[in-house]
Amino acid sequence: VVTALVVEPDPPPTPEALVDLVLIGSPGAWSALAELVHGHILDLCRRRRWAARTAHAADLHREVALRVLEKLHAGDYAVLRQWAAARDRYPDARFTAWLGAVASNALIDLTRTTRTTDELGDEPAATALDPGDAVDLARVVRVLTADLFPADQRIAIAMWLRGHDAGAIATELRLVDAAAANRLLHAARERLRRALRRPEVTRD
Amino acid sequence: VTEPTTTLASLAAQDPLAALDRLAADLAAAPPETGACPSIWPLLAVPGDGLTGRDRDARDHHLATCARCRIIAVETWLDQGEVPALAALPVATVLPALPRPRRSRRSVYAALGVAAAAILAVGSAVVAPMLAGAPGTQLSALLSIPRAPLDLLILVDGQATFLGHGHLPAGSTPAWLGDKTFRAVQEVLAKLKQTVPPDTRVTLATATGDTFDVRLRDAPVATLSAAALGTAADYQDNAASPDYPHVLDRAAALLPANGHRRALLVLGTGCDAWSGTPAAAATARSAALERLDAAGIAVLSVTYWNEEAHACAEPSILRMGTARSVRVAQPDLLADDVTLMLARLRLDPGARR
Repeated sequence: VVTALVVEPDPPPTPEALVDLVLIGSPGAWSALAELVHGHILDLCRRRRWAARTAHAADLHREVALRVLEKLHAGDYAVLRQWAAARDRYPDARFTAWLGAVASNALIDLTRTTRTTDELGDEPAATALDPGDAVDLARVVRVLTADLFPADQRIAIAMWLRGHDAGAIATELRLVDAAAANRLLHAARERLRRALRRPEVTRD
Repeated sequence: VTEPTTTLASLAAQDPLAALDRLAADLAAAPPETGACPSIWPLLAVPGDGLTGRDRDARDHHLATCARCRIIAVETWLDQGEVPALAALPVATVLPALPRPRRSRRSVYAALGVAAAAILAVGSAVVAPMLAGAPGTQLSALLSIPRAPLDLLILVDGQATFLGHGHLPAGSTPAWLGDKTFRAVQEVLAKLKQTVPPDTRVTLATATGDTFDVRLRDAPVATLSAAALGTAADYQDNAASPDYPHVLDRAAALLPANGHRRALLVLGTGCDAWSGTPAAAATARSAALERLDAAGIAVLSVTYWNEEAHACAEPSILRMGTARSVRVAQPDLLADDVTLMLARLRLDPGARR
């Protein structure tokens, strides 16, 4: 009787394991993590539709990915260490969510770099948010992410927030024209407004 | 004792979307990152209400004062499809922060316009000069590896199934891939000047069997373009993939020699035309790579191989014995991965000069 011995290959290390390996200085771990993070950030940029349907979208995504890698690597992995410390306190914390936050920060840096004082005109600089607005903001996002909120309207709002115009929204959502995108956006805001006018049970 | 909480219900009743409009305006005027910002980001990744009271307060007080992290938080929550409960804000925080006069709709749209213009301008006004090494950019501070120029040889697999545009017999599957990969390699060449340091010198060669066809020799990277590859018809009759042991051995002589860090970038299917057994070919490739390594030449390879379209049983060059080798699943990912490989070359602290 011949018994076949099947040796399963080792599974690839998880991002969490790679983070730990990087932080203890394991050779090659940074390269492996960088490759994994790079792919993840490109996926995230596409999913979030950053610069969607523009000619420079791929360039922007690549640049965001590179900036994230720089951020993770800088200062002897200082940001990565902060993440690892938080993850130790909160084992449920999601690496991909944190990585998304780092990517958003990189995107803001890219968009900020292009602005000058002249372009901003007399717009006031960003200041502290009213605490009530902070609460409202959480409510807004909670409504947007509810299952019942139509996906196309959620996408339209998200793109509008990121500065896309109606034309870009129409292209992304395959609408007939910018006017249709404006109508969708208007409907989304009205749906949001109605939802927010409903009393919300708050938790103390 | 329960701290008083704010709901600012009256504000919400006036304009429930005020917070949304404020957020849109934040995008156009996000302040610089502060030292505290990165410490908040991990807290955004904790699902539900899992944070301790202290961390929750830290997160929410930071969000109330940092427009940048508000944007980041909303992006993160939208992406995760989940919003944590915000901490009850103490009255001492609420009272001084009475609602300010609202920005007019016009000013919000103006801010959005600026944001849109900024995003559209990124490609031409920021990304290109930054990648090209404009002073003051973060890329120039790439840790232990400065943005020194390279002496770079790009070696492209010249076989017809990779670069040609021939036709398989009617009814063959899959469709011929040459056209796609030809365009993908053109894209790599067109974008390379944005990826490598500006004073980099480039030689571009294609290889079939053990012969090279040098298409651009020791030229400034700025002069490299997709046209350097010629046309797909040029490769139509190339039946053989490169004979890598011989090709790698002779590559050093083709590298530009201007005293810069030297790198060889290999693009192809990875199929090897070496005439010996696969084991002997692997040994010969390893020996050639060791010689390149000893000469201080970094070897990077990005391969696209399709088991149905390409003749070889497997992309043997993936077993070059170097960590700097990746295989992409689609031709149009070649450019992305070349960018990544070159970035890794800069990030890799163990890389040779």
